[in-house]
Amino acid sequence: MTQQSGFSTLLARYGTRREDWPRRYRLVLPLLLSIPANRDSWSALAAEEKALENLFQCESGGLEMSSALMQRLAVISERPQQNVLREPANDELALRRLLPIGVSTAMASLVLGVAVGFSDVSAPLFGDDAQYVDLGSVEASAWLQSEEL
Amino acid sequence: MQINDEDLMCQLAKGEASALDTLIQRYGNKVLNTLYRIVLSRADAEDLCQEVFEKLWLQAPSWRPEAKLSTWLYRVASNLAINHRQRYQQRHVVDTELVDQLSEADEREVESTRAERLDLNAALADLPENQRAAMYFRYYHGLSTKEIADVLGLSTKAAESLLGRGRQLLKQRLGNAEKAK
Repeated sequence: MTQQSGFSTLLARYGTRREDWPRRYRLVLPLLLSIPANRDSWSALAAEEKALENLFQCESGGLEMSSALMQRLAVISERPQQNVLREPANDELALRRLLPIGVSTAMASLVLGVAVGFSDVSAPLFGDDAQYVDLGSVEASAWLQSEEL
Repeated sequence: MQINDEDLMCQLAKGEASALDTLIQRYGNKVLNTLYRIVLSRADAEDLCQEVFEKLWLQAPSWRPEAKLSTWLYRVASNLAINHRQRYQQRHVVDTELVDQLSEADEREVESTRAERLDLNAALADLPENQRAAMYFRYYHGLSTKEIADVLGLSTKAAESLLGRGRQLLKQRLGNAEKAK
């Protein structure tokens, strides 16, 4: 691609508004426009754009709202809105302030519960400790038997 | 002193009908013309204009002043207009009302202007709705590519592409009309 056709591609893409050009190209734009062929392409497109702008400005905007439309628009406010904005009540505001504290407490309880579940709180019920429980019950029955005697 | 759009929207959110009246006076014609440029039919543009302000009224309570009101209005208007055309598949419709209005005026004085208007209408009618909308926002409202992208809900690249193709097509169509004279 030649330098000029490269510039034409950029020009076709971004137009003649400098603010529409990406910064990296904007920085080198003065340099690109120092080349006569590029400057001519730029001027030609700028003239076309100005003509389009004039055409749109002259042609558009002439339409005025008709009285029938005005009447239709005037009755819009008779319809109820989706959800009318209201000031929150004082107790609602207090509840909103307390809500994060409640949520934090619930989360802390949950985390604590999970941590306890994974800790060895229940460990004495297993292994050797369970044998002591059994032994304990045997000793107690022996003691009861000796009491009866 | 003129009340700014943000204050009017706050009033509108509280259900104040007078705020809606002020906004209609301020933006009614602009919205109508935007719609007309895309749908090219006054009757359709008026129906859609009513829809835009109905949405504004209904959605005012949930309004967040993150975007300019004008941007919001143009976005809603262009979406409705583009979807309207897609819905009814009525492409290439040129409103003749403007032509009728013009014919009532002094023929000699407006002859060249009318020809230009007809050319532009006809040329625009050949463009897809989204290109037409992009061209209108650029050349009538003077929006930048980024603003057009924002209004049409597109990426900047997509807006660049719409403008590039729109410009090319419009130039071609207007050039053909010029040659045909």
